[in-house]
Parts: sequence; structure tokens; C-alpha cells
Amino acid sequence: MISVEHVCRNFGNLNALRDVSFSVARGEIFGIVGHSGAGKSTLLRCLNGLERYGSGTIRVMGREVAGLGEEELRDLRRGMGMVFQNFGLMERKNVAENVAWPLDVWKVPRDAAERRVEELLDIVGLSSKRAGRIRNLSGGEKQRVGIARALALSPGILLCDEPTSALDPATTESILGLLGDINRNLGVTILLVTHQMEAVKRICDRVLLLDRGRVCGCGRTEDVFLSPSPEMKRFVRDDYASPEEGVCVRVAFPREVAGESVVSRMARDLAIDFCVVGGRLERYRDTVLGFLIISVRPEDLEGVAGYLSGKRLLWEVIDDVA
Amino acid sequence: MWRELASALADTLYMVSASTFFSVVFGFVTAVAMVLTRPGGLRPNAAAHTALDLVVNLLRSFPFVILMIAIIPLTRFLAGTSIGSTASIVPLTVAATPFVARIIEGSLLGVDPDVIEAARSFGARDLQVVFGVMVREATPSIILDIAIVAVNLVGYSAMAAALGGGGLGDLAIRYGYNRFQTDIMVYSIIVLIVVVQLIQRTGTLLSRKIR
Ligand SMILES: Nc1ncnc2c1ncn2[C@@H]1O[C@H](COP(=O)(O)OP(=O)(O)OP(=O)(O)O)[C@@H](O)[C@H]1O
Ligand SMILES: [Mg+2]
Repeated sequence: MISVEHVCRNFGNLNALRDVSFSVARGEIFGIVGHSGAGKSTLLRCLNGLERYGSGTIRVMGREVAGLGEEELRDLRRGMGMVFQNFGLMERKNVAENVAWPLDVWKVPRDAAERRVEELLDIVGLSSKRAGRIRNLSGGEKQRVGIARALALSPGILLCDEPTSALDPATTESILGLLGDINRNLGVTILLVTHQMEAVKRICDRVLLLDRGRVCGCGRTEDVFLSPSPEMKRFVRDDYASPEEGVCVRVAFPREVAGESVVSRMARDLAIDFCVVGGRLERYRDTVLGFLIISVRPEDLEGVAGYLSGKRLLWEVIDDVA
Repeated sequence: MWRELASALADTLYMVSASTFFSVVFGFVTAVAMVLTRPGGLRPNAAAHTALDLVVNLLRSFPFVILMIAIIPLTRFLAGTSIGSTASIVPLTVAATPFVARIIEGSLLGVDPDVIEAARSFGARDLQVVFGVMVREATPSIILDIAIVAVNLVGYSAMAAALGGGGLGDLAIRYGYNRFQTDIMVYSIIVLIVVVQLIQRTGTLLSRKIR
């Protein structure tokens, strides 16, 4: 659906994108993560031609973006909705008018447009607020309007630039849920730019890690998070606090395995001491994984490693104690 | 005296409304051009933008009295004469246009860039972005701009009296200052205060109403 090859973009002597390549398949939810200034927005905006790129090729739905004329570009954008961090809604229009805006631009007949707006408001759950003023909406409701607007022209692709970064955790969860539903029910391919790891784990099938304009990781979400590359570890360092002494081992358990009992059985079998440093449950789309971080004495590490591998559990030593 | 006051008020309103109208028309067009051509605008054009910017700054740095005298030939060409209320509309407009351009430019730039980006993201044309988004979103703020300009022009129109433009300022100067008829001066000033208040109130109310 989208294929990006060797794309570079410079602003003066700042390399915002350096040799970026990846591709997105139809129906996927594809995450793009990176720190502030990594070039995420620039990359996303290159995809629908809002930003030009210096070299490389970007093909979206079979068309090379850089080669499109003005009208062809409009046509491409018609097939790609975009959702913004700060919503980008017109304050002087009400909810329904904001959703209808792309339909106005494309001169969709009035009655067809009205029906479409009702459908969209229904999808995002805002039918009761159709005449509401934008400034009276909560952040989550505003983003729902933004999403409805992005879907107005029935695009095949939805580009989301930090859609949940201005929202609280509960609202974030509901917006991510909505994006997941849209992906499942309408078959819309979604690109999700974010710096929130939770958002990626929650809905992304695959994820691309961007660091100062360079791709430093790309793969299935589970793989990227469960056996992280050094870059990834650096990225999520503050997610896992480590204690002062001992060696910290992070063990991942599938949902049906109770982590504590495995670890305490191990302690009994190996006759060692350990202490639990932290633990949590994380959602990877539809599966829940448990993590347990334990601290063991350095001399016990070898035994622990052997035991955990014997149980076919994913584990790793967290060495870069932050 | 009342008759004089009434005709002076009519003169002031005539000069102020005409010059406000023309300066807003020209200033608005200039502002749109500046916003379009600025770096990062919809149609970036460094040469055009620099030129516009320079002209606007240049005209704004002229003291009004000097500008008024400097453009007498233009005034005569456009109005047929260089004295009187109608003639003073020319220098008033020339003086106010760059100011209008600057403040409307500010209002247009105040529009949330995400909204502009959103419009472009679903295929709006540049014209639709300028008028359907930028101007439309900035309208409440542009109305306030116009009120500011009109109030400034009330003050400038009094200076235009030096070129034989009529109006309340002229009345206050001729009778009150030159002939020591304090009552007429006080009355003209009271009327001026009321006019300014009305303009500002109307602008504020209108702007708030359509937000
Ligand atoms: N139009 C521009 N002109 C000059 N530099 C730019 C421009 N747009 C982006 N940049 C620079 O390119 C780099 C990448 O910017 P970008 O907005 O893509 O980052 P980001 O990953 O989206 O960051 P954030 O998480 O803060 O949104 C930044 O250093 C930014 O300053
Ligand atoms: Mg960004």
C-alpha cells in the first residue's frame, strides 16, 4: 500500500530524514515512534505530499508521490485522511460542519453529504453533539471529530500524527480503541505516529523506530518490544527502573503463566534468593503479557539463565542500570 | 453652533468611513499577498515578499503630516483637488493601508497552522485554504483590527484638517483653539469621544458575536 525507499529530507544542513525505507501493507496498523525532533511528522507529511523529499521514492497506492501534479496530488490526498495532535478543527464551525468540511471541498451533493456526516458521527459516537460548538468539547471529543473528518471521504489510509499526545490516559485508551475499530471494521490502513510506547503496544501490528532521521528498528511490535535492540532499550530505558545491586533480569510471561509462581519455584529449585524489583502487565493488541523484573546475585545468574531458557521463557538481563 | 457640530460630525464620519473602507480593501489584499508569499506560506516567493514587506514598512515610517504633503499630486489626480474632506480621504487611505496590512497579516498568521494543514490534507485548493480557512477563522480578529483602524483614522482625520479637510477635529481647532470658544471645543471633543466609543464597542460586540 505504501512503500518508502531511501528517502532523505534536509532542512538546510539538518538531516531530518536519512535514508528511510519501509513499507506498509494494506489493513495494517503501522506505528512510527521516535523522540521529539526525530522526523516523524516530516516523514508522515511526505506520504501525502504536504512535505517534499529530497531523494528516494515514496509510492502510495501505486503512485510516486513526488511525480504528481497538483490535481493528482489532490486526488491522492482524497484517499488519505489525516489526524492531528491538536485536532486542527475550525472553531467557527460546529461539529457536523467540521465533519462535512472535506465533503464541501469536494462538492459532494448536500443530501449525500448529510447522510455521510450522520454515519461518521455514529462511528465516532458523537451523534448527540452534532450541533455542538468545538470549544465546548473535551479533548477526546475533539479528536473524535478530527477522526470523523479524516474519514469523511472514505480514505483507504489514515495518517495519525500523535493523535493521543494531548489526551489523558483514559481518553487515549478510548481513542486508540476507536482507531482499532476503524481499522478492523472499515479496513482502513493506519499509520500512527507517537512517542507513547503504550499506544504502540496497544494497537500497532508493526512498528518503525526513528532516531534523528534514521531508521533504527522495524518489525512486529512483539518482537521489537520483547527482544529489543540496543537502540530500543535506550529508548525505553526509563520504563524499567533498576535497583542498585544485584543483576536485574526481566522475564516475560504469556498471559496464561503466572509469573510469580514460576519465579518462586525457580528460587526453590535452584536454592537461591531473589527480590522482585518490578512487574507489570502490558497489552500487545489482543494479548496480555506479564513482565517481572527480579534482582538476583551475580553468581546465581548463570543458573537462572539456564532455568528460564529451559522453561522457554523470554528473558533478558537489564545491564544498563539507569 | 449645533448645526456646525452636526455637519462637522457628518464630515468626520464620511472621511473615516470612506478611508477605513478603502484602506481595509487595499490592506487586506496586501496582507493576503504577504501571507501567501512568506517563507513557508502556500506560495513562497522571497522576492515578492521582501518587496511588499519593505513598502509596508517604508510607508508606515512616514509621519502623517509629511505623508499628506508629499502625496498632494496623487491627491489632486484622484480627487481633482487637494483640499476638503473628499481630498483628505486619499492621504488617510494611503497612511492607513500599510497599517491595516500589518495587523490583518498578524490576524491571518494567528490561525492555527493545524487547521490549514488539515484543509490541505484532504485536498483543499490554495484559494479554499486562504478564504475558507484563514480568512474565515480570522474574521473575528479582523473585525477587531478594523475597529482599531477606524479609531486611529478618527484621530488622523483631525490632522487632515490642516489640509482643509472638515470634521470635528477641524471644528475643535478652528473655534476652540484659534478663537478661544471653549464650549465648541469641549462639545466637539465630547462628540469625538462618543464616536470612538461607538466604533470600538461595535467592533468588540460584533467580533464576539461571530466567534
Ligand atoms: N519546515 C522546516 N524547516 C526547518 N526545519 C524543519 C522543518 N520541519 C521540521 N524541521 C526540523 O526537522 C526535524 C524533524 O522534525 P519533525 O517535526 O519531523 O519531528 P517529530 O519527530 O515530528 O518531532 P515531535 O515529536 O516534536 O513532533 C526537527 O529538528 C525540526 O526542527
Ligand atoms: Mg511531530
